[in-house]
Amino acid sequence: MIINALITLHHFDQLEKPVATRLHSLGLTEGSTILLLQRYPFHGPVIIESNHQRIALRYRIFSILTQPPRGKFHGNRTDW
Amino acid sequence: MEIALIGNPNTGKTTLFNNLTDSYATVGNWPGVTVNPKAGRLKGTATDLIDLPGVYALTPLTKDEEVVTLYLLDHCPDLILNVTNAGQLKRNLLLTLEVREFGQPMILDLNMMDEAAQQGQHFDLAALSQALGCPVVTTNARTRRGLAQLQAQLQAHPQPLAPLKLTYPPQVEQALQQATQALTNDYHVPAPLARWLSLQYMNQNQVVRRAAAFRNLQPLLEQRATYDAQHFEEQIFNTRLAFIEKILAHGQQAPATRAATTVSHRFDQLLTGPWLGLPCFILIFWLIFKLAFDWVGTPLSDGLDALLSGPVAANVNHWLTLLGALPPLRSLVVNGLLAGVGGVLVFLPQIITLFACIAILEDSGYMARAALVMDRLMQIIGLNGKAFIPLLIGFGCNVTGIMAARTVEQPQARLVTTLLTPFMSCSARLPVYSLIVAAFFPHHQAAVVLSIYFLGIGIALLAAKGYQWYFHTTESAALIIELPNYHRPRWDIIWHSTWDKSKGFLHKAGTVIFAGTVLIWALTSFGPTGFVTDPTQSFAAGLGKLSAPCFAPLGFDHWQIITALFTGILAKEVITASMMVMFHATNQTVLIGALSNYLTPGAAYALLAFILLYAPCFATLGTIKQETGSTKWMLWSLVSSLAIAYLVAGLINLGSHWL
Repeated sequence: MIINALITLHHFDQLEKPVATRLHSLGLTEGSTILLLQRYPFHGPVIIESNHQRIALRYRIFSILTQPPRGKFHGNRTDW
Repeated sequence: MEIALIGNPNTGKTTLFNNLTDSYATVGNWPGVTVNPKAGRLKGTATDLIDLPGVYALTPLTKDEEVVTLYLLDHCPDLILNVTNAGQLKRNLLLTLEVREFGQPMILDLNMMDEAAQQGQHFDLAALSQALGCPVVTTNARTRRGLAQLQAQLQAHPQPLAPLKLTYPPQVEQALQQATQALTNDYHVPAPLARWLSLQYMNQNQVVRRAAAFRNLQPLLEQRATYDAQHFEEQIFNTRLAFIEKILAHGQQAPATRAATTVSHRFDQLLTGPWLGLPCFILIFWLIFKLAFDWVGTPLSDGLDALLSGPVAANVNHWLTLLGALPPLRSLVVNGLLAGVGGVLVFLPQIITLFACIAILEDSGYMARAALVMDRLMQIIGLNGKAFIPLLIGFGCNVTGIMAARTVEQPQARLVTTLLTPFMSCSARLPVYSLIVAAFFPHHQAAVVLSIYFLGIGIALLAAKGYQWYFHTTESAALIIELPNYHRPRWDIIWHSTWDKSKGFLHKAGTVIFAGTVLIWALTSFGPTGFVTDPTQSFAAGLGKLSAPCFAPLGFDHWQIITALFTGILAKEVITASMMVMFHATNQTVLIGALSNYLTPGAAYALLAFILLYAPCFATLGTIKQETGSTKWMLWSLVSSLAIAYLVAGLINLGSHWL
């Protein structure tokens, strides 16, 4: 996934409830567009930016949220 | 009158609290700094200001977050000051709506206005106030802008406000009305509170659900499955979000700059870069270690120790002799009480230095990044990056490491971190390592000592896996961390934070160290014949002789060594001194010679491992009790480490016979 790419988040329903709730509280919801700022090697955490705030997420959470939407290719993504 | 400060983490709430009150609370640019509520007196008034932990919503995810909901239910403050980060107003208002629905008088404070201005955001305060039905003020707590006006508002008598009533989707509204009516009619709950309780119940607020079950509020309990099946919590969230977007649509202008171009982002490119992040982290913590244990802390600690055990002790002894005090009394004062006070005080310079450095990292915003950089490694043992810092500090001193575990948000992760920290080989164990490796492994000293450090890490990793299994810690403790903007640290905040934490150490852990010192003094000064001047005739020596056979499987069953290990529970530094007394050695060379006659190299390595693992010192035990609030966990730490040490040392000794 390309750094500085705009990515739309999906699949909040696939996350554990507390994780999804915390993301909601941080203003991240289904369909939110975020900017990918940083990725760490070996599937380490990722830093994203949304509404002027930087948030670090575990790679697993990030990869669930950025899977292509069910049944169609997502326009903003370039590396699937 | 009581005013409660409620807000998201990183909104400058505690800075505001420190500015508004005469007393202070710990502050940090790092989520979870206010772990427990702190109270202060509003300057020049008799009003209490309560600083509650930062929460994103009233629906708690962690035990710390429950504090806010429980506080609202139990205390019902006269006024709520809702502090928000103006730069992140949209998500901050989610909590604001919940608090406004609660219905107590409230003032909304848009704090950190400088950040909002940098982002090119402006707000129509009048429109915001009208939409939310409460007064709105703006402040910048770090530069103290707007505080006078806020203080005036807080001192005025709070005006009653009608609770905010959002229009939820029809099915939610219908369920709300039914539940509210039933609670009002059958349980005599006031209508506004009944509506709020019902809403929170539908929103899966576990504190409210427990309270409803406890009070047997049937109208809610009966409908629980229906609420959850229809995903009322999602509908509630979406309604609130839509309301916020609507009220912000007018006042908020499109941002002029993107965060990616800010100074914070440029700092982050260096400090949290994928390849430079780790070296930067190592450099920063290396500097902190050097400051605390090499350049500032230890020299001051040594100086203080020399002063207390030298001139002060000699003078006190001299005056007691002149006053005609009996030898046991003199010994109690000089070797017991004074040594006890010294045992507490000598830790203080290191602790103050370390806490000051941590406070700078917290206030500047780096601490959140440190957790991020270490997260991948900690993920392997079921913890997140925040747990790494206390463990690292534990290599310097376990006491300070455990105190630093306060920064870990999740209670379970904090507990596990606290229990793992004693396995980190603290600097106090180094003198006895040096002694033993000089006696048995003169040509491989550094390698042997290093292997002991790694043994500690290995045991900690295994223990972490065990705790992970025991607590069933899963990805719910996963790292989701807000990275706040960097700030230039404010010295008054650093000082307050450092002093507050150090004072806590002195008050609580100090009492255990003091009591422990006096106990060891008693054990080494008294024997079956009464007061003894020769420690080899003391109860401690007797205890060593009695328990020596138990240590036979470990390869070191000499009562002198066992007695020294007993005294080592007081503080690991004491082991060397105790061995010298017990072996009648006049200096270390004599002691090294004596030891090499008694032990084989295999048994010596087993002894090294045993010293690493066998029991946290009194100070560490006291701190574990203080931080976990439980004697049970303190005892568990003592017993489990003793068992592990016995097992590991036994295996090493057994292995050495085969080699």
